[in-house]
Amino acid sequence: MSEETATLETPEATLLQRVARGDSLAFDQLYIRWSPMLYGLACKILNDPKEAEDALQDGFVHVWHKASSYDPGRSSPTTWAYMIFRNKAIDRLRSLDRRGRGLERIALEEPEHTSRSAGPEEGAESSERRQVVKSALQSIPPDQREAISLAFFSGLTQTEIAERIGAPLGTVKARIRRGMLKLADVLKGKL
Amino acid sequence: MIAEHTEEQASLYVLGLLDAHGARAFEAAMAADPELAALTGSLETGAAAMAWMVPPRDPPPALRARIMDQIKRGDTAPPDKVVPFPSSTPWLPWAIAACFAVMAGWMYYDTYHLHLLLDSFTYRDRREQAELNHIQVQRLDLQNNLADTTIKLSTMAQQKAAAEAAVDALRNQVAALQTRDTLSQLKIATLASMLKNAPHATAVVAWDPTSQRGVLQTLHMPAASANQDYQLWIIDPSYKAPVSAGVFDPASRSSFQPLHPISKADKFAVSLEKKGGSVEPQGPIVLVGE
Repeated sequence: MSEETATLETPEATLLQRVARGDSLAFDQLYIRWSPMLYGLACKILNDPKEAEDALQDGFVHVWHKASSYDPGRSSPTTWAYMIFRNKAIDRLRSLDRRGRGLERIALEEPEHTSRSAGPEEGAESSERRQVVKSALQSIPPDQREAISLAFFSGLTQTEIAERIGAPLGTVKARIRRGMLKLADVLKGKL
Repeated sequence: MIAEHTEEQASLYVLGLLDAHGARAFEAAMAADPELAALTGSLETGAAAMAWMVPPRDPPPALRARIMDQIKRGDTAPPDKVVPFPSSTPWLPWAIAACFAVMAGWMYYDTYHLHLLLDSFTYRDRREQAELNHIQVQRLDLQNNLADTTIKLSTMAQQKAAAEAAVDALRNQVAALQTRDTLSQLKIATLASMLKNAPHATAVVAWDPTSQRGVLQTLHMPAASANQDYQLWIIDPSYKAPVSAGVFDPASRSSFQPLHPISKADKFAVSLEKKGGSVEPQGPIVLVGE
């Protein structure tokens, strides 16, 4: 069985296919499944529940209109969704910064597993994935993890990250490259 | 094999750290390179790992209805806000005041979103202008590349002509060498007179064993009578009898080809035969030479 076929068999990929055909029921199911994790992500990036709500709304409208652009050969549906919502939140964060209404940048700590116990909506599969991701993140050096974390959550530019870390720009780029490649390698076929 | 620099660009692209130019250039490169697209996909999986570690959080329940309502309406504008209306007339003044308050709030909300839209358009304009600049730079690059390529093509055409001339020269040299080789294999024989009435008569035979052809040139040979012909013979030890090379006119140079293949031309001889020649020598030998 090919990797692509295996991916298409996952419920989320099937739901996305239905959404691409204009199935609002499938869209609603995706919302139920994804909204907690994506709202959590938006809150972490924006540090403001109201802004996070708007980002979540923007993101889901994007999913509704762009579900057909999902490429199962490139990434999993969850990865696809995470990247869309992360970019929506970062765009909003930067827009607020430009308007002088910049939110206080969140104090970035090392990402850590939530202490929240897995609720009924968070299945064993998600919990297992989090464990896999946690192991993967622990497999890369802390300086690389810090650079990637800042880039992912803060919306800072390369130069701002370098200033924040106190390292030369070239060093920051190298850390990001090495860390990203390592993560991609460790997580290959696992998410 | 993807270069380290390209891996770095891919990582920065996934994290949104490239500027508009860089991102556009990278997307173009990715569209043309499936290997790079696959790498980018795997890097996105790596980046999404950061999101996996964020605790889930339940959004406000009303948000779901707002989003569903928005997509069912088929627009992407901000959702309408529900404005409560008073249920009894004694509260009409309060209701009117509330309406004004709501309207004021809505206008502020609308203005805020207009600002956002304006920002978005300004950002888009800048990005499109930047993309246009980028395209113009690429166009200039392409024009420069075209000019370079034209020059290279011209140079290559000149090189091709020079190479063809060199090949022709080499062919001529090879032909000359072959000719020289052929000449080196030629057998030259001088035939001496056996005639008492023409002691100075002579002939020269040039024989090419490869082509089995030869040339005969006589000198001071008396003319044959009307019913006779001079006939050239080649003595080859592999034959019992001399091999005929045909009759000839002593007044001019003659080319000849023997009747049978000659493996070794030991001697050449000329005899005076009946008109038209003989199968074997029957007349007197008039010239002979090795």
